[in-house]
Amino acid sequence: MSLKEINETFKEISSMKPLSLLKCTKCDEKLERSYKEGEYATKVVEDKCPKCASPMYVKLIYVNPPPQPQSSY
Amino acid sequence: MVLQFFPNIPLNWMTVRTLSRIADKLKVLNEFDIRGKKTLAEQLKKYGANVDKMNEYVQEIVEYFDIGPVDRDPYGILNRLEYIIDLSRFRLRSLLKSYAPNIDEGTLSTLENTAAVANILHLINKVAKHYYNLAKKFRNFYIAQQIEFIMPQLIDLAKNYYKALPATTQQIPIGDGIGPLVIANMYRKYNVAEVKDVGNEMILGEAYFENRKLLLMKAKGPGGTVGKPGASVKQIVDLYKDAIKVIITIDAASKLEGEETGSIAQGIGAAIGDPGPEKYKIEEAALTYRIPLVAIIIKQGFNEAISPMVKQIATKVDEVIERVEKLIREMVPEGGMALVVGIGNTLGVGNGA
Repeated sequence: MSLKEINETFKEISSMKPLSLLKCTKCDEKLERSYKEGEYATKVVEDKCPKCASPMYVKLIYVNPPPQPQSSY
Repeated sequence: MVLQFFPNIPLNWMTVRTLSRIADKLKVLNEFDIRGKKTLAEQLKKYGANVDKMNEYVQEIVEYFDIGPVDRDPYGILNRLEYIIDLSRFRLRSLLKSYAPNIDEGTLSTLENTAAVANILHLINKVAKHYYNLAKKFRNFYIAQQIEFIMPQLIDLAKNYYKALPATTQQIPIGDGIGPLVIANMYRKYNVAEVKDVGNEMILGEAYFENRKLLLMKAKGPGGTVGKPGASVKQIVDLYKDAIKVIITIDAASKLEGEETGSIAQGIGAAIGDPGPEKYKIEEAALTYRIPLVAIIIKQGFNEAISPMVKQIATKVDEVIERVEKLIREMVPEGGMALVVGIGNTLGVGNGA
């Protein structure tokens, strides 16, 4: 890996966008949106459930994995 | 024909070529090192570090080391190892707190993670440079070859550690945090209203599941810490003794090449990847009261364990909870009790209630 190739990695890391999966505290409704700074799993957030308008909490925080290079086999 | 009379010429030429290729790769490791230090400096500045002394602070942190206990006489080695680990952590935290005076206790654990990553990136760069300089000094082709052979692995290792930095600076869960994430979701699922601080940076919540009592334990979040689960398990087992019918540990585990990320497996023993003291305490506590010790692992690559958690791992939480429930139905009679421990770094994972 050269310095030029590693710059691609730096770009990939800086463009990594974490997502928060919110879950309603009352019903099973789930909602995926961009992660906001200061959030953590289980935190109750300001978003309201689109179905029943109850408060929602952060169930999971994750990133989508970068695309893997195709194997030649 | 002429070269036959000067056998060293081809070897010297190959050494020069190899060293030149290594020098190119060293630039990559150096870049990781510089960026690691820069991120650490930014974090220290954020929490009130003196900008004029920043280089000195960063250098002291990245050069920080600990010396493992002597193992020629293994008697009591785990106690000594635990002491060194605790002391090292205490000292590093004190250093960070003195450099970044505006930091609170929770964020200090996260800054500690950033410091650890910067420290490792510096170490990788330093070791690679050492062997490069050694090969150059003695014009030794064989030393140069060895460092060239392992260079791709070193770059990959540095790259993976570097990927952990955004997680530590933004407080996003990392792959290793799947165990605590499962427990935090169990707190929510069973409506655990209150969790107790049981010391050693660990928390415990009580829940009921089909007439069985569940003791759900994880490290105290959302700062980046693993706590001391062994000490806390021992404390809880000593309290409830054989009323606990099973101890279930949930942890991330290294997958082999070709295995699927996020695949779940179940086995016997304590699923914990510490250097020894915590695992020993869990095993000892289970053995004392003959409590079955069951492990659930969520497989992932080393790079995935230390970088922000990927969707493929995070979405396994509900499946792991189902597995735990199935195990409890099988192993704990109604009215019985189970201790479920989520092992791993609780960065970005709160305390449920």
